[in-house]
Amino acid sequence: MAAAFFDIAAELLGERTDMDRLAARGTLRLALKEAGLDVQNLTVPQLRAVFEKLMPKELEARGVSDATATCKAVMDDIASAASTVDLEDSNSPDEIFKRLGGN
Amino acid sequence: MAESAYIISSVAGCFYLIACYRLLKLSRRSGQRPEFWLGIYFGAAGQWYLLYTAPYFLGLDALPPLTEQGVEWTYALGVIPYLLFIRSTFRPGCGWATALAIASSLLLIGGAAAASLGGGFSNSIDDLAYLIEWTGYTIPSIWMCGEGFVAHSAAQKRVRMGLCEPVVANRYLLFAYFGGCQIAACAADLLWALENSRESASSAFANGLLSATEIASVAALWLVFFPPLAYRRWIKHRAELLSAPAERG
Repeated sequence: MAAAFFDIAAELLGERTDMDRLAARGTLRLALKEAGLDVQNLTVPQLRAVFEKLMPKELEARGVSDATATCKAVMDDIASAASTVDLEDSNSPDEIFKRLGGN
Repeated sequence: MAESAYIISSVAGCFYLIACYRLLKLSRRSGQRPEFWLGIYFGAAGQWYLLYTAPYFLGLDALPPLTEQGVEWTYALGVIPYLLFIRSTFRPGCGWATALAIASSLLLIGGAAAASLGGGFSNSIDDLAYLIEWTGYTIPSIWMCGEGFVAHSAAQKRVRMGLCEPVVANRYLLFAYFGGCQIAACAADLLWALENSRESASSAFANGLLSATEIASVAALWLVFFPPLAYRRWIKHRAELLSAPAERG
């Protein structure tokens, strides 16, 4: 499901901006890399943080007008698309290493 | 081995068995496989250290041949779950990781089988079976060390974003250190094998290297599995200090 979140987010980003599919995916990938996130282990809370903290800057750099509002709209779309999915990934590396220490 | 090396190895063996018990208990509670695999690995490592040092403490010359075969096979097969842990945690569904885990497993089984069929396990660089098995258990140490450093680097970015707990990011680093210590232990093992092939006594350097790596390994794992409150607070405080300039910027 994690990789699907990336696909959904990139597609919605493309729809909300003038970016083509490749540019939308590339921009999102760059932001994820900057946040230290892996497409394979992506969760909705992580995507939300990326769209709140990093994507506005990335979109502004690519000439997207009202980047913050665009990011919020994309995030709302993702949240409704993901609302029916179990968001807990008990086998992401962070979850595994969290359990190892007993917290 | 020197007396101190025997004592340190047996203490490390006890610690690995405690880690095994803790991980298997955790696995039963969580129902997840990664901690189960890691627990099996530490169990295999623990029995290896304890049984190999047992003759020294019991005043025996060596383990009986059949017991030695059992100890070696248990360790060789016990490293396979460690490979599964690394692959499933850091590279799930990744082709090269699966191939590496399979190749390393085949080396472990092949080396142990060749030693069993060839008249027993030796610790000599002239013995091809030893070299095959040595390669099989050195690969996961190198792999764990590399993955630990890569994961720690990415986790530090997540910590700054508030997406990862500092203590979790630190555990990646501790596991990288553990992998590094095990690489050094494998190097000490190879040095011993080289000295054995020349029929000379094991050097103080090989003994010292093994003892130092075992102490460092146990220390790193202790901070992973039984982190004291003061240590967790220190890691959290340090992460806050490192994040502060970025937040101000």
